Amino acid sequence: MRAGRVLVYVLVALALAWTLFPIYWVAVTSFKPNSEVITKPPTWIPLHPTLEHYYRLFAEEHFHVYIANTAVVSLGSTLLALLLGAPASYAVARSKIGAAAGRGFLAWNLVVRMFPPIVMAIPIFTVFRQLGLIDTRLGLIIAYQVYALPYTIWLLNGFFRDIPWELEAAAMVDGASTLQTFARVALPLAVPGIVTTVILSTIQTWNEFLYALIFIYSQEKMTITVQIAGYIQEFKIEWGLLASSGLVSSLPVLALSAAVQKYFTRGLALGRGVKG
Amino acid sequence: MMETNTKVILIVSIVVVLIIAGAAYLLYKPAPSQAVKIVVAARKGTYSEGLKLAAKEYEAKTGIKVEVVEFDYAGLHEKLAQEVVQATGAYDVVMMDDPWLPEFASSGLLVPLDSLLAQRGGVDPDFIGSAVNVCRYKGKLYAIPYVGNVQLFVYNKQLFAKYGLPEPKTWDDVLHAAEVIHDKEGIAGYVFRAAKGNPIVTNLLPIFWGSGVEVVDNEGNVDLDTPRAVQVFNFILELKRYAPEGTENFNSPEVKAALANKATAMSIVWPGWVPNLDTKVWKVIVPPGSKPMIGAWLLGIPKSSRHQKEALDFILFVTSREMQKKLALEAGVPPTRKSVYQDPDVVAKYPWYPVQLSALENSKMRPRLPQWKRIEDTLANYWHQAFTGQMSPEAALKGAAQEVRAILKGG
Amino acid sequence: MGSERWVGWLLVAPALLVLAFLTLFPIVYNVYLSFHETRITYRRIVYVWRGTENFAKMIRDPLFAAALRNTLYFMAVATASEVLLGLGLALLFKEGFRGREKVAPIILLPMMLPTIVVTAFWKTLLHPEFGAINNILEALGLPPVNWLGDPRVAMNSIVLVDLWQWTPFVFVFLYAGAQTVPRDLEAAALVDGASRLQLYRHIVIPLLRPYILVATLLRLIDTFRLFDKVYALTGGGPGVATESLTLSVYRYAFNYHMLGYAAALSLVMLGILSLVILAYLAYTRGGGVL
Repeated sequence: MRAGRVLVYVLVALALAWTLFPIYWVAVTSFKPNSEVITKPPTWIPLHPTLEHYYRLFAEEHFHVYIANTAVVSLGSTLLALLLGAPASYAVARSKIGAAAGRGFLAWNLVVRMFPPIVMAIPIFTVFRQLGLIDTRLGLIIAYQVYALPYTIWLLNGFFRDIPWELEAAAMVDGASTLQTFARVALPLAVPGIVTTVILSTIQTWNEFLYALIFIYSQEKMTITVQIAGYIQEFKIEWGLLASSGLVSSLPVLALSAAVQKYFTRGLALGRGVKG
Repeated sequence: MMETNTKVILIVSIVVVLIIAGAAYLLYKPAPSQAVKIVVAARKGTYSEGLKLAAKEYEAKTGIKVEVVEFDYAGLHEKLAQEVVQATGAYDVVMMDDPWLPEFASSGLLVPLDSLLAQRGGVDPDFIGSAVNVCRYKGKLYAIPYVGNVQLFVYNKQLFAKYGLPEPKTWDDVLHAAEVIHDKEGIAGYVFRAAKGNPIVTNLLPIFWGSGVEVVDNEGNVDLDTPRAVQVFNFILELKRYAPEGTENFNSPEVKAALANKATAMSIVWPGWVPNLDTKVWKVIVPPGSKPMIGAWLLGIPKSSRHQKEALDFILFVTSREMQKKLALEAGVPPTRKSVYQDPDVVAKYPWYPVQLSALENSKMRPRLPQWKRIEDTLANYWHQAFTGQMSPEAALKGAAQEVRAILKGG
Repeated sequence: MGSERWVGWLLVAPALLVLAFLTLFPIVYNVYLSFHETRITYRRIVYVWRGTENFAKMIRDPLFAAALRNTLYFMAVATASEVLLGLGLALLFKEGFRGREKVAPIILLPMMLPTIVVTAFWKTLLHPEFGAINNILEALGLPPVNWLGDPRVAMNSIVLVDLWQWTPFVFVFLYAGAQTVPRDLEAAALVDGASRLQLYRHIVIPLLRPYILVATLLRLIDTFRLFDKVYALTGGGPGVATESLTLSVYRYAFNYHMLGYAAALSLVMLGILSLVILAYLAYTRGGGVL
């Protein structure tokens, strides 16, 4: 038994080390001057710590522009998905369109989430070209509905289903229309679920790369993921800037993830259709 | 307790994000456009630094602002390819690698310059002939040459003297010298810039050319799968034995580092790398075995530009005699004008310039094919696989030849 | 009830329309495109009818063959190792230890990060000369590995990065599932003299089966899309050792502007994914989803 317990702690320690080492290493690198990055043997704690890479990131590379772009695009697409998806998932959750149609709609959303995103990219790209939506943040927000809308619908469906029906039934008995019930009774009750959905969907589009690469190519509209990909090609051994940009990009997402920690498992389970 | 903390984190991050978004929008709202602004799309590196220098001078002189937007090699090509179709007018001047000219000229991106230049006296004969030639497609001029890039070759003359090796005149000389130096000195005899993509193709082509294999010519004939070509590749693999570890992924930074550290005795170089080399150690010569490969960077004007006249003015300014001399001396940008190569101040700083001039005048260009980018990628794919031992040279060359022929047929 | 339905459809309509445009239309249009090829001229893309030429080309295309091979390999190896490791972690946490609640969020960190950031981190770690991994190997007296440049190793390095990023997902998924194992069942088994190992083998893991199957399916779907990592770490190289399906479609569409061929490739990609999923569902008889 004792050996068993020791083994457990050893394994946990290994898992922690495995998880944290890359992050620690990159964090340290972001504070090292580039000359120190390529010394051998490597230094585990910076000998000459510097903030130059963070300074450069904002003062020279204008990284705040890319953060703003990413924020605008991911929040924008989430809000659009909410506008489109909340009514739809409510209608399905309350069987307003019939049970079969509702199940079919949800199933379609699930199937769509399985498609590799590149499959939709080319046709959307050609249509956007005609409409002049290429290289616009609005275009990317619309394209991101491929990710955000099914996700939002699926998550909100679960949250709406969890709200006890009685309050809405009471409202309808009192003469409220479906729309009024939805807006005045269901939505307010679903706020925690909506907040969770907003955060999860924002995280998803914040991290997205393929569509951001395809649909935007002007420097000033780029998102952070595409920028960082550029830095990877560009800074072959001068990793200071790459490290600082990676860390800075991760902070907002980590903060958001922390906020929904406790909903995470639930969101996952609901999101994947397995009751947990 | 956890709840409050999480809420705080959440609120703080949302606020921070909103602040940044707001600030960025305020900062980067497009200023009410008064003066004309020219945007240049360039490949990041020495040459874009030169453009930025020229841009500052141009603004001081004319008051017209010039913004230089930088991309990496593949990214620049992608942006220009997009511009063909999108025609957004985002760029007024575009910097191009000479093999791209047929592609962009034939797809209609570039403004033909013959008539525009005729009004200003035609193409200045001071420009080196071969540099102007790569700006032409089907006889028409589509760009002005900016960087007189031509492949050169350097060898460690101290080591060569030490082992009594003659200056390499053929690739067999290179192999022999590499073997000797590798065995006796313990360093790499030769270094390849063999990263997958444009690097490996530009690095291996001269070896093929030096042995009489064209690979692909302007008419679309492919001799990539002949026994002679296979022989050449086997030669390349033998030379690789004396190259540093990891050479199959080397790009410019790694090769430059190898030269700076004297970890290799020989290499093909582009002129922009030479100023950093110690001339007591290294001698610059024309690459052995054949006409050197020209790799000029050109400046052209997209049809979608809304400031074509100003764009042309800027291009002529950058490539004027005074500017080329200044950029050569201050930024290390190889010129495209004969007079600058022969200017005493310039030669004093770069003593190998006479070699470079003669290399340029006798240079050979890559095939003038609009599909070159795809062909280059195909060659890179196969050559890299053969180079890294994933495929035999015979199979790789055969596969490459097949695909290149298919591409040329329109497939 | 009639007006209820009408309002219901009204609520669903906007989402339905957007979804139709973004998901149904593209498939149909891909079919149309796949029988054409595009010719780029200034300001216009011209579509030229090519019949089934694109599909014939695909069969002979070595780049596509490599991409297919690599992607399937990646799917299999990454999914299998992530599920195994994730299961191990979940059981470890189920065992329980002091500080478990604090450790869990840390273990989850990698999967919160943007993939491109994970890629950037590992690019620095895997550098043959200055990367931390090789430095550690050298410190231990082991030979350095050319992680991204050696064709035999490159794809496995991509698997390694994916493992680091996504094992936490499987872990948290299975851990949540492990919470549903009835305590009294476990207690009863232990009272009956079962060892912990037997407990896991005969009770916990079988009860976790549906979760394991779903996690596997989800990882299969996600690994099929491999793009970010190979685009940024290796560009598909060395040679074509890490070329992936999405990368090759992207290349043909946006580097070479062969939209017709790329559309054909997209359809085939979709078909392959469907086959994989159907095979999986058939093999696992429902896969925990049905």
